[in-house]
Amino acid sequence: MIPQISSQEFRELAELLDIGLWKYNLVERRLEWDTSIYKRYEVDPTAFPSPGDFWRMCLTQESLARAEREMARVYAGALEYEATYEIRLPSGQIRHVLARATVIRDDKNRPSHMYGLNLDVTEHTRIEQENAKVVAQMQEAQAIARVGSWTFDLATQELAWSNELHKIYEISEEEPKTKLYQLYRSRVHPEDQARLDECVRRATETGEGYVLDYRLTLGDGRIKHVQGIGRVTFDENGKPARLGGTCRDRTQEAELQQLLDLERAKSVQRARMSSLGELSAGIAHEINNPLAVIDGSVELLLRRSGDARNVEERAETIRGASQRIAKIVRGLKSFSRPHDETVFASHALTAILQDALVLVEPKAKGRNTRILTDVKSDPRLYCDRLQVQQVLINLISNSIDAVQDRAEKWVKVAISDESGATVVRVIDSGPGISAEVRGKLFTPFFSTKRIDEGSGLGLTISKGILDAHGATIGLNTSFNYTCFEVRFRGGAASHGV
Amino acid sequence: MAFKVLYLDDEPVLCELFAELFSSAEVEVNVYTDARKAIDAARTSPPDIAVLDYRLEEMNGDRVAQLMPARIPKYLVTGDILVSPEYPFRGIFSKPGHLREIENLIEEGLKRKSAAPGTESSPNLQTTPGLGSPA
Repeated sequence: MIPQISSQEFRELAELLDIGLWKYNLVERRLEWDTSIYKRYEVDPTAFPSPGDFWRMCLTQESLARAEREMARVYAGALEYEATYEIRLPSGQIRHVLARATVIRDDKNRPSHMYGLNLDVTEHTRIEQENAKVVAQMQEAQAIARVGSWTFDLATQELAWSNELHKIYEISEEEPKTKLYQLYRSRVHPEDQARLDECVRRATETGEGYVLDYRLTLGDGRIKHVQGIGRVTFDENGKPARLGGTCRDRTQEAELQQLLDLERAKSVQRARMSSLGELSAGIAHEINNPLAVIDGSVELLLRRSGDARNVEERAETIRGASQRIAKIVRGLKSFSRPHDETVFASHALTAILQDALVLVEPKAKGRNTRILTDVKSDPRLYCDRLQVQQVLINLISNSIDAVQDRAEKWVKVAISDESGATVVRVIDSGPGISAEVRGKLFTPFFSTKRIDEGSGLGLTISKGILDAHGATIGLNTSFNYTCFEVRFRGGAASHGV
Repeated sequence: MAFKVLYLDDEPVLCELFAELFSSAEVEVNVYTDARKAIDAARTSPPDIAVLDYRLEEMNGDRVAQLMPARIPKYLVTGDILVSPEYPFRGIFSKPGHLREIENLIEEGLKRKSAAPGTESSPNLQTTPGLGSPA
């Protein structure tokens, strides 16, 4: 036998489920409430036997308008009624209510009344509002940080994008979701597509996440630099189920970095020019002396042109002098480059040292300083030849300056291999470096020289160059003399090509 | 008596050329590549003029001039772009091109010598630094 629910039982059940029951007479336009609903509205049934007006008072304007629209639908023939209201109870409490009703028709098929029930959805609405707030916050945060996010369900192939991602890619949110993938593909820079595809493919197949910097090309030819981070979520069987990621617009940062790189290259170039300027007096001397030899020889040739032996001897002298000039000019050429770019290749360190010495020896000679070399090995370095030469010139030139007040004036350059590392030491007979100065050695604009003698950038730029080569520079205090030590990492990274 | 010229340069070829160009029956040229030897020579047998290179191995021409007797007229030659010696040289000549200037100096010295035979060749008056030949 099918159990029958009595109206008393039904009312108890409604109360248990927190449901309010009501009836609306569509012909008389009269609302009737069950006791369960009076309770909900915090009033006594005897106070409002006909609760229509009271109900209207409780509803906000907006809710009332919604209810009336829905009622109009019913009068127009709809079979169901559904509306949500925001109501203010006599106690001041605000509740959210979902009202649903079925339209009952009379024997002439005219809508006669509705049976309805109210559900308290205050908690549900609160959660929805909270969610909306969280989503709004997330969107705001994404907009501020210029980070968009996306998810891709591997099973359903459904792709979802955050608003900010649409903005970064400059793809309208109005675009149909099915077109999203094609549009996204068309935005990725052609040169970066293969790399991005490979990351996504690996993520899908192996579950490996990725971080990738790539570019977007936008409609008007603009380029955006972005960083994509992808992550895989797995199903209970450990198989990749969902791909999710972020995309950050790093255009400003990339442009700043480009500027910074350019400025750095320029400052290296400027430092090279300034060290050339400093060495130029000595270099001019190195050219003028052989020129004087040529000059004197020509004079003698002209005066004693009849003497064949004289001609031969003088010609030989002139050739020797020309070669000396050519050597120093080659040295200058070895230290010049038309552009600021960095050119890495494999070079013999001793060859770089020789080039450096050609330019720095005239200065040493002019200051009565000896330059000694102690080459124990001839390693090849994968480096920018000119920049390493610049570092050597800077260190040797500093050393020459440092020994000027000493009775003994010498600078020694030693090259050796030490447990796989290539070590260059520039040692001099100077008084050493005080602890106070030691801490500031690599600080920009710090100099112990007079303002017109040193820019205070030499060691800073040398350190910058060596950093870019994965090499280190420091003071080795285990020597009795001042010793700057440069260490190039050994192994394939620095020796191989 | 010959006109005596002392030339000091650490470049042997330049010393050799100097001697060949200027040595004659009337001009006695003594060249040195070593500063100490040049100073000794100037002290024991003072020349009529001393021509000193600036860049030398042990000390520079400026210092050499200070160590030579004051009454010898001294001239500085240099391949450097800028030198500012402390010593009041009679003249500073740049290399190259200095040979013609020295030739003029020697010719003037010879003229003076023949105009006043038997007298001291170098004028004893102290001139201001940087001036060329004495009046």
